Amino acid sequence: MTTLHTVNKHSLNSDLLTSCLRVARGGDCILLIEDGIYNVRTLEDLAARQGCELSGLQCCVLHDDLTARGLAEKDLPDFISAVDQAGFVALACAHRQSVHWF
Amino acid sequence: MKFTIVLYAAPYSSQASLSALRFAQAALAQGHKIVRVFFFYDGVHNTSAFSVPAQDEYDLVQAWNALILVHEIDAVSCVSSALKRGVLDAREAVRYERSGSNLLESAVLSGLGQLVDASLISDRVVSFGA
Repeated sequence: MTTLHTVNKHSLNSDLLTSCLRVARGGDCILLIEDGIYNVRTLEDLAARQGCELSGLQCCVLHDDLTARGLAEKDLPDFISAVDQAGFVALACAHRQSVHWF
Repeated sequence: MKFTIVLYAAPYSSQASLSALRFAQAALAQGHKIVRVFFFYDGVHNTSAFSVPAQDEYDLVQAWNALILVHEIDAVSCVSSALKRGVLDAREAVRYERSGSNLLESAVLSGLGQLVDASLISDRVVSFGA
């Protein structure tokens, strides 16, 4: 059973992302929303250190929140994709449970 | 698919209320059903009809009210969270001898059992907080 995780704060201001990554398992999806968008660089650094994608995790950002923070899809590394609101709902449907880190 | 949405955050203090509202709108647009919206902790402020934002600001409380009414969603404000934050319906205002009531017309005050019940009858529970 896979899980959708949403993270809504920057790792500089909270340990939400660390906690999330500690429990997330392969097949899970981490969706960055609100100020969680700023974790894109943190995930990119982690992926670079591990030399691979994050242990089979799917990583996404909410498109509206991305652009609201002055970023664009072209700023994202290959392993992070942007989803719109409908995509957020689809992710919630695709994963039987969800954990919301806030 | 049946969704329950739980909102823990007040409007305007953070983005959470708007995030939850957008998610609800997107889910309904896709033909999903929202079984219940449960306003919890500071989230009960989303059900205060006394909220008066500036004219050029988005009226989150009325947006929730409209969504709930149009789609006939069951909206519950946690009664213990609401009373201590000054969100009262007419009955509680009389009971506690307060001068007025402010609970949104589309919401009701009820207990945590409503969240448990919603979790049991929903396929997915999605939470938003500050």
